[in-house]
Amino acid sequence: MASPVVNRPRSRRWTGLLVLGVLALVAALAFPLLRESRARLRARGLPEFGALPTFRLTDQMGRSFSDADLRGAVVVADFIFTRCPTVCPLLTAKMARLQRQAREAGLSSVRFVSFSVDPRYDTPERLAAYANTRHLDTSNWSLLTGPLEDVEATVLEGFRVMMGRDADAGDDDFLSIFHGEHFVLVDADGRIRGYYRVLDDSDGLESLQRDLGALVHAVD
Amino acid sequence: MSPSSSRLSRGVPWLRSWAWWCLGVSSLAGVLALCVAMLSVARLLLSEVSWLPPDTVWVPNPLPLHGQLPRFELRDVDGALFGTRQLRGRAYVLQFLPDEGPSGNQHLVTRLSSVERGLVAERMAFRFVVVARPSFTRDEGLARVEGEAGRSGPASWHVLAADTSWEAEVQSMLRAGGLVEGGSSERRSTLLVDQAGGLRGVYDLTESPRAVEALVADARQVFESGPVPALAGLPLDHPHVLGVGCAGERGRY
Repeated sequence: MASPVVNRPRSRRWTGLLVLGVLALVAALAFPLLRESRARLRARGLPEFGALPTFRLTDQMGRSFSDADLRGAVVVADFIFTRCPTVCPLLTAKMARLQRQAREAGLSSVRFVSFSVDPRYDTPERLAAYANTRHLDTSNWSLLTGPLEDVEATVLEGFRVMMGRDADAGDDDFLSIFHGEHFVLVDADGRIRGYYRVLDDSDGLESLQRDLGALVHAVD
Repeated sequence: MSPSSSRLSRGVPWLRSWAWWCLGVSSLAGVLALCVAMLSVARLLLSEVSWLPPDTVWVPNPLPLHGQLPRFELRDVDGALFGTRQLRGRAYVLQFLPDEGPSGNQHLVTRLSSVERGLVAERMAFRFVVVARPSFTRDEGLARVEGEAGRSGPASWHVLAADTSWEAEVQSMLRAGGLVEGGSSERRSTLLVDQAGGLRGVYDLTESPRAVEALVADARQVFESGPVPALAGLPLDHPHVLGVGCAGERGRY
């Protein structure tokens, strides 16, 4: 008759541990789901700034490249030119860092695109040399060029990112070229979802990483 | 006692002991699993700073984007084609001249010249595109903007012959956006267009005496902020979104 009295606290301890264990297991399983739903909420809350423009340009390998090649992928775009001695190398380094972080985070469905804002000079060969010199991973990163008219229509009217050069500048005066320094985020449905300032000490790159992850998780 | 019951009585303590061992091992495994699960939760909670990160903060362009101005290509006073293509990358002021004859438009052109003086004083290079109706000869066209405007140099002023269908498109865009009240004010509208061809402001320079100052102030914003509608990565109190580029030794790049 004494054994049930002795066992009662022990069984209570076991029940408590069991409940705790179940709760911990449920929490461990539910946490990723919570993060997913949070990512979806974040992705839904991102503003929309218009549609990815339609374009047909040429990549660094000389292949035709159009907006159709980006459909279904989350895209990060930037705007550079190979002769740029100032911000463009920094922008390219930031893009490479973003690409590496996205790979490490398992964000496989991300594409990176760099549009040349000096397309008359930046031939596919020069873009390829630029990529080689900087050891860029071009497996999901394309550098694009094309006729000036098409690039201007895409960058200016499509992405609404500034590009141009001083009116009285000659073709060799590459210092007269000016352009927007932002990274543009496009979702898998081809909608522009953000412009990010990634230079200086701003938190634009961190915001972009967060929003990029959210858009990719929202697709998954 | 039969031999079988004797074997059973010998086996019961052994079975009980084996059951206790199993229970002990499984409890230990349970406790370990519990620890691992709790550690995982703790790790996620503590290390993942961004599991519930703050939302991205956007700094909107101070001037709203009212839409993309329809593309155009019109004849200038020399008969050359001039339009959106030549204006890409440059902000400009677009003025439709009402069909009231040179004297009727003089007041409007004078106000435009005031805008230009304000912009020049702030060292901002803007183009002025004047669309005149009806079609004109070279002398007539120049006469429409001669006087004060003619002195500022031909490079920044472009007098173009109107294109009815394009103008109708623009007016319909203004009406749809509730940017004009209709009637004669549509035809007098002065439009501020950004570097990407986006419509950023509509002004009636003849009616409102403060419209000139407003246009100059907004033009300054367009010049500094560029066409980007909003930007993340700037402090909230930043005055503009820096859409054009950075200032270098030689100005913009």
